[in-house]
Amino acid sequence: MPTLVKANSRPTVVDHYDVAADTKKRVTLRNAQTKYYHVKALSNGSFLLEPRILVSPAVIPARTLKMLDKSAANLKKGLVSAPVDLSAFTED
Amino acid sequence: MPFKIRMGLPEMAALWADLAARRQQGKLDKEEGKFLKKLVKTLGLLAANPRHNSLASHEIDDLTRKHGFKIFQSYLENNTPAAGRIFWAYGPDKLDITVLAIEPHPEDQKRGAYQRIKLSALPAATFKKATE
Repeated sequence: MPTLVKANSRPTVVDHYDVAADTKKRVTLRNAQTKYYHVKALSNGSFLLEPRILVSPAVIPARTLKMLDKSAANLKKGLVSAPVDLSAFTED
Repeated sequence: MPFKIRMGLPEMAALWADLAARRQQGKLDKEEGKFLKKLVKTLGLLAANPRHNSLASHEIDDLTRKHGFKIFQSYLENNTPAAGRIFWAYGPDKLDITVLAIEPHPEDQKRGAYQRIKLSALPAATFKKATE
């Protein structure tokens, strides 16, 4: 699951390593947390990568997504309804 | 049925209870009746076999990544361009399925109702600190 750094907390270094660019000048990220990154190439030769989280591949309306977020939070706490009774509809 | 279907929000459980009660009393209007019929069919199939072909259940990777557990989407209708859909996950217990969200009809884009979820950016303050 992607972890976002809170705006107030200072990022800490969790890993550092050397990589060599391949013949097409590509490098590989190890243990990348997210699929998408925004890359900034700085004038001093550094590259800065910021994680980007794609929340929805198909369009999910904000209202549905809000509902989903609330439900997911409830589910993580184990707060769900009693089982729904489908037996009343079985004769249909 | 092997799976028990649960609702992830009290509002959804209340909606279900309300629709079921009004159906008993014959007080559902035409649209509500149609919706309840589709929902009952979908939940029945989900309880019997979450991978049933008619449901076209599939995992939504980005939602799974966001919440840390597998989230699936199933359709309420077939052969319909703007089919309603439900989002669900396994749990909290074994043989439980929790419905996380119900979208009866995707809203019309022309009305501007869709607010596309875009790639999120980190807050500006974080970026400044990271570059220090």
